[in-house]
Amino acid sequence: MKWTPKVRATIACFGLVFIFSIFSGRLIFLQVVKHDQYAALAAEKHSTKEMLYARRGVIQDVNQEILAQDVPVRLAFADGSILNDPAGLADLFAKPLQMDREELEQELAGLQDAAKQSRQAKLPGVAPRYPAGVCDHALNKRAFVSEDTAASLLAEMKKRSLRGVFFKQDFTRNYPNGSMLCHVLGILNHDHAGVAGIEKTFDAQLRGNDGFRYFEHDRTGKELVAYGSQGQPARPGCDVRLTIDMALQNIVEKELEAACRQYRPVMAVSIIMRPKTGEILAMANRPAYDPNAVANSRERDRHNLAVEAMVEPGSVFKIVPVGAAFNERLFTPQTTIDCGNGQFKYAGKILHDHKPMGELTVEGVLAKSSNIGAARIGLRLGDQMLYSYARKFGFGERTDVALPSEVPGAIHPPYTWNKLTITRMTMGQEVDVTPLQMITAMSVIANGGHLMMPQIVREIVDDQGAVVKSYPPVEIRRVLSEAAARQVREALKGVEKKGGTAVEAVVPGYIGAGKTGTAQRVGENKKYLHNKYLLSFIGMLPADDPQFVCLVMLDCPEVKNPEDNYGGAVAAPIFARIAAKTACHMNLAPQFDPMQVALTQTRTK
Amino acid sequence: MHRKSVIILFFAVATLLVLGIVMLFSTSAFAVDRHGDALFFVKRQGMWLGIGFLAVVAGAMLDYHFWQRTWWVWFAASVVLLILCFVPHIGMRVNGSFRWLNLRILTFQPSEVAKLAAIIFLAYWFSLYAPESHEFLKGFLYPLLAMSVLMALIAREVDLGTTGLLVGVTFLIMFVAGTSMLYIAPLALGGVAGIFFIAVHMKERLGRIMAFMDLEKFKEGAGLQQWQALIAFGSGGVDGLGLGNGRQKMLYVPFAHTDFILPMIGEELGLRCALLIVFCYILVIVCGTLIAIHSRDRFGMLLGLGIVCMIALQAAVNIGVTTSLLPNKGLPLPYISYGGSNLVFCLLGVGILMNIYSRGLSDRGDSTTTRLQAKVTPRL
Repeated sequence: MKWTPKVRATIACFGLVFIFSIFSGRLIFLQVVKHDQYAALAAEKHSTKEMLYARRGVIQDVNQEILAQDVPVRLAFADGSILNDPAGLADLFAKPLQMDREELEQELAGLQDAAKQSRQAKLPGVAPRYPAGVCDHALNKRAFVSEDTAASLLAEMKKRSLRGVFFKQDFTRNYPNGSMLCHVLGILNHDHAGVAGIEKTFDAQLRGNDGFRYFEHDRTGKELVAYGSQGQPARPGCDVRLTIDMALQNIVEKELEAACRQYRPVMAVSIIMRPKTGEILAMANRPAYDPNAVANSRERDRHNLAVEAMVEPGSVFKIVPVGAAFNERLFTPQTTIDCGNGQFKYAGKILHDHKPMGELTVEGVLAKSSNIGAARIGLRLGDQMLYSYARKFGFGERTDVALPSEVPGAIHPPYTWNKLTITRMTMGQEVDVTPLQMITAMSVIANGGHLMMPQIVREIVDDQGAVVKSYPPVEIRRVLSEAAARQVREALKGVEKKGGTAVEAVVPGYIGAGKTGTAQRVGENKKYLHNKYLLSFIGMLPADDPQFVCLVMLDCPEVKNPEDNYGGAVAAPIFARIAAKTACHMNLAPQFDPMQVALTQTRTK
Repeated sequence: MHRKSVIILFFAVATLLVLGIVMLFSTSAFAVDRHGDALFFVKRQGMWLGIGFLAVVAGAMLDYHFWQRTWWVWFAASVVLLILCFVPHIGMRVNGSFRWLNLRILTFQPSEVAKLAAIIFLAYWFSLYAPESHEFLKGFLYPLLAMSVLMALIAREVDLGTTGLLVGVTFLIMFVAGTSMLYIAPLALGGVAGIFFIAVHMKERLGRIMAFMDLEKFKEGAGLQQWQALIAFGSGGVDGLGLGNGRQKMLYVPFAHTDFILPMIGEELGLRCALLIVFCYILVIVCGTLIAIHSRDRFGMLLGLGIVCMIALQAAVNIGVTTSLLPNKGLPLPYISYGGSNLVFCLLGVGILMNIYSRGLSDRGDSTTTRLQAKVTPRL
């Protein structure tokens, strides 16, 4: 064969064709033999799991008014690998993120440097391109911005051709009523877990299930929406519906606030309870805090004193020996007791009344709050009976209300008592109780002798609106007979009548009943102080068929006139104001026309 | 076979062009972000296709001996243009190399003109000195010296891919023209050694070669592009993911719409289309060679073969790189990759081939039958 140009050209042609045949083989190898392997690699690289945070359930009052809810917000993150102008970004974001401009600029510049360095280092092998956090760095976890703000910030970024800051979806807890009901609602920590109040007790129900989602993204991590995604949607938490009525809560909070301004007590508690069911309709404490700004509050402000405070109840406790005495038929309301000249020597100590009382009926003992009379009733009952009735009324054990950190109080068994104890206990000393126990015990009187479990949650509702769990009234035990309870109620009416300790507790138009409490506070040397009192009043309305029981308690109020430093003068008027508004809100029909009564009184004068 | 070759050539090129524009549509969608217009690249490529169509018509209409007569114009023009690349304000510096001329309205690469000039020059030279083509001076050294002017300028731009391409085409034309293998072979070996030398002494390029040796290890760095290209091919499989469904184009493969378009085709359209493209190139090679062999004279044959070699070698390097058979070297895939100058050059080449074909038929000479056939065939 001659090596003509044509032959050479053909050889060159075959050479080139041969090369392309190799390519065909290579393509078949890559796309058929290695298909599975590379497809798996690709799937792994392109899809990412993203958490979808569940919306936490709403806390509602009995009328479904929202008390606590999740609000969607955006958290700011920075990506060091693409941010272009730390100074410009700092200008834009310092204010909305509540950060110092200089600090933010330094932080961003640091991220940019870190990204630059790792890019230059050309990390070998499979090491990640950027160290952790460089592309996904949270700027200020506590400063979230609303969805609208985030959108306008992003638009502004685009306008100024800035890059590198992006937002992620999150939720923040919002309490629309501010500090109102704060102790009952509680708060969340930074991991969205409830750490106090209802938020803590019902954390599991409120929390919901976080979902997730796999989506495909390009190399910068941007989602490819067109390719779709799969996963499991987040399931919102259940809503918790409380027994609290915000209208009543509002009344209570207002009055408590006014009382705090006037008396500056160390602490103050007020509770309204429906005695027939044990439902708590309102519960307010002072000091309080704003759950929307927990960081600005002091730890000691966050205690729910209604269930966490242990106090000596004072004379309010007299309903226990009197109730026991009626129930055991040892006394009738008209049995007379000699209260002497206001001094009662027993076991070497002298027990005082605030003034000489002389002969009193049992009703009078309650109405005038005679310590001596109560002590004599207690002595007649005996240690064991008094103790067992105190326990039956619910003292010394947790009420099991759905609030965390409840304390049981302390009531010591008779074998630890000394001779004096029985005379002290009848007037509410040497026992430690919580305000909630006090109002629950009073509800026994109001409810015909039945001890109801205090309820704060009415029902739990899932995100579809179906009731998951409801909390019907629970009777714990019968403490007193119907008759004994009525006798005590009748006796307690006397407290608000002329000559009683709390004439100022009268609500015009209604016949109420109640009991004052004036407990000496115990000082640091474990002796009773003579100028510090815990003043309280627990009343019910209307006395014949009580629809609500209300407790008002102020600790160490600053009372100008020392003679007014007792429950009837300080707590009772507050009760009267609350009770009047509550009766109005609850639509209780007045038992008589107060104007009429006033007129008759003037006429008789 | 020869008579149908131009039809086959035409359809092969048309297939490649269509696939190219379709895939450009698919891969450049992310341009929305950068240019604010999803059709940004498609519109530009459409404009270049229009210019390219004019180039085909011009090349086919113009007697190819025009190129023979004006060889020095092209040669001189490409030298001047290549030098202009280094002049500030006219030359554009892109990624550290001076490959572009900025003509205000549009930008183009003078090296494309230089490729054509080189082929014309070599064809002219070896048809002029046909009898001496086996000699050392006239058959080897002189043309090589002339070529080295172009090669040096292109190499100075830092466009080693095109330089290598020119070297390859030069040797192929010399081989066909009859230059002794005694001269070519040592130089070719020396060239390979030289490439290694350069590679070792230029850090970046060494990195690329090292990465090529072990793609998986360097998949986050120098080997990223090729590694991602492999994943694209592999995940495509036989059927592909479907047009527009490719994932790798989403910034995983840099230059997905230019040099690395083939992996995207493999991913979205599958093995069949990838093989179809390879087959189209084989058709271009075979038909082009047939046309060249049957040309009326030696200049036509060398010119046609030069064009075929230029297109084939470019495609070969591109496919070799994207399938990781060769170290990473950026050369566009003729007719498919986005890029104006190269498209126009390659289409002009097709036009010239068509002209060579028609002259080859009409002026074959002696028998009247062929003459008759020649007049009939194009009308088919």
